[in-house]
Amino acid sequence: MNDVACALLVSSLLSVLLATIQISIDAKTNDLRSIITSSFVFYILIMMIGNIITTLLSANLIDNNLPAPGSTKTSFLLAGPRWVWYSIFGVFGFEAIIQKVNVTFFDQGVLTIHDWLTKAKKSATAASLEKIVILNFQDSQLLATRLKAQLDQESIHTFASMQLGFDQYEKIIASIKGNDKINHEEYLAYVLAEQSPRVVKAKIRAR
Amino acid sequence: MGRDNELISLLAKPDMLNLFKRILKSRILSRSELERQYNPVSIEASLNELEMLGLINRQPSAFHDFDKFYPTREGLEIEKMVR
Repeated sequence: MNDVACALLVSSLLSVLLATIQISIDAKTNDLRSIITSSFVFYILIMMIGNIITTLLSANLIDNNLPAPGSTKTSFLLAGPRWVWYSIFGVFGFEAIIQKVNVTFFDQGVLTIHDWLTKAKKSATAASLEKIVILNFQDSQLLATRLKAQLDQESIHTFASMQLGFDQYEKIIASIKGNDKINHEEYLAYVLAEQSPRVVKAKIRAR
Repeated sequence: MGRDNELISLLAKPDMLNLFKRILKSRILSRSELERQYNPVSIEASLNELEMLGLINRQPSAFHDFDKFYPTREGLEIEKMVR
């Protein structure tokens, strides 16, 4: 594989990595399941296209301005394979370029690349948030159902008061007291699954 | 234009703006978390209004208290503006 092809591959991988980190930070999640959405794929594609173009540009600039490989002239950039430098300048140069480049059509400012990326990023973040709440809901329901199936009524109350603290447990019981539609044990199991999913998982595994 | 006016009127209401900022900051909040910080009576109307403006979404839960609220793409797009 030649240097340019190798650099394009590395730039594409870096695009995926950077997009994942950005959406993970923006959506405040580290759950990969919730990050991967169709909007996220679209965001990656835009990032990839940009990074590939700047990587090609940087390869051209480096080749035109630095001594050819094998030349007697030295340069610190010749240390190591060239594809490393092509992709580093390409990917990190892209961030600088997107702040400055404007796409115009008949002298009318159309969307800047920065705008495109921002819109795609917001869509990916919103899709990720939607997926997080759906997955959390499914996880909580599953955990609560399993907990309720494994513990008898008294054990659920004991586990809840120990896990939540007696004051909070009392508050929760007081808030649902008198509401015939709410099953106390189901509610407590759901509160535990929402607030302490790891502890509930451990409790289920231990039995 | 009508939508801009709706957003401007939203920004003019401090309670609603604070609630929206809180959701934007946390990204996802349950009703019980919101009710701990805001008046439970008035919060429902504000949440409905934010939802109608398309700035937040709600994920219903098995229990009302655990309904989740999170910003939509449109909500995220005006994040810089409301900060």
